[in-house]
Amino acid sequence: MRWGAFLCTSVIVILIILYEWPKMKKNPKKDKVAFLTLLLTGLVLAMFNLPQMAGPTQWMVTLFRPFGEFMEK
Amino acid sequence: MEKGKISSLQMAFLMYPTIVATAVLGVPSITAKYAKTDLWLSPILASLIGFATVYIAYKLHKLYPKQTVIQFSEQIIGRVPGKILSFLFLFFYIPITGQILRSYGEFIVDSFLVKTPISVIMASMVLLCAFIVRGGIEVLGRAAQLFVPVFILPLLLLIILLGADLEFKNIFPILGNGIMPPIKGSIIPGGWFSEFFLMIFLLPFLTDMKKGMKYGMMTVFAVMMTLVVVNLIVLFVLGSTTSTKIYPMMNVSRYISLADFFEHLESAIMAVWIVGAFVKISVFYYAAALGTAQWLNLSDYRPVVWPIGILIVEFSFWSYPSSMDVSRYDIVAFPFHGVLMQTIIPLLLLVIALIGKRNRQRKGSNSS
Repeated sequence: MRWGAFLCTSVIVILIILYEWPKMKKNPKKDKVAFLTLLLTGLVLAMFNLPQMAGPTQWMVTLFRPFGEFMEK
Repeated sequence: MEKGKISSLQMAFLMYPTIVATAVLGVPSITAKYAKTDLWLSPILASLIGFATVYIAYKLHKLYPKQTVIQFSEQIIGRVPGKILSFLFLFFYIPITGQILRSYGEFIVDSFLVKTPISVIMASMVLLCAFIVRGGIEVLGRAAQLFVPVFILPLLLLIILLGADLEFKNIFPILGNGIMPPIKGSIIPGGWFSEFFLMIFLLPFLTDMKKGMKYGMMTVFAVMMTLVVVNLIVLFVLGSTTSTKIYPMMNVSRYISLADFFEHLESAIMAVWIVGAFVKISVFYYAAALGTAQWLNLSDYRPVVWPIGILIVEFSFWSYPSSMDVSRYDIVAFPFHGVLMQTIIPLLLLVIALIGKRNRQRKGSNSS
């Protein structure tokens, strides 16, 4: 866990909520739920050591390995 | 959801830097690795993918005007498979925006702001792009209209200023090893040309929809010509060493020395390239935000713009330990993933939609 990155992200998330929430008063509940869920996803992801973690791009490289090997020849 | 309207010329101005911005920078050297001195032929072959993608996108748009791919894929293949496919599209566009952002950051850190942390560079770019995406498609269109001439002009100036350094004999031998090397070299620019599918997120908001196809095709042609010219300049100046450079365009611009006055123009190239990258990231960001909002059936896409910005920055770090991995992704995965998501799947969608439409028409004529 990288505290620096996590703390920075938390501050940014709080700023986003402070900035965005007053404007979303009239929006339906679904919008608010989506907004908060996406922010929470971002916050959770910030807790991991992302550069060393296997992620979507890694999966894509694995998925397209035969083509990748053709290109690297 | 989006009430703004843009003209088809503005769409062309949005799409042009979306392809060219990153393609002029790193792609010539990757192409040169495979095609050697025939690297200028590769964009011509790769543009076929671009023409095909624009044609498919426009045909899909004709069948379902006023809808983006996220909405009409549900109508074509049913609700649940449509949602899954839309998720795959989002799962392509959000990480790829992160990857573009990372390669932008790596370029700036590598060449100029050596001591600045890369996250600061990337976060400031995302902040800027988030403001413009929140502004809506009209703001995006007008910004592109303003910035694209600034982006194109220096590329033309570069040709004039480099006049003395061009070694035209570097182009020989043409097709010395047969046609295969340029074809293999065209796979990677092909991935870039498939990005024209982003048009599908802009087409529903055109004021003059009939011109969409014409301007789309013209943009593909303009992009192809730009890439051919850039590849030729790089080849004429650097010759067979092109493939050893990471950013050949930067190396080339360092050659400029005119009357002891025009020197160190690489900073100008960087400034221009930031403008291009700004438009490019904004278009991808816009597609990601609009797509997410439509996927979740939200009433507006603006609330998800900031959260997606955070996700984009995180995806730009995710499983990229170093800049080597970023450029390796461009070679081993992006050309195939990009063409699969943006050309082949839309083609399948179009075929299914056309068959469905014909069946419905036949049923209609039988019953009447």
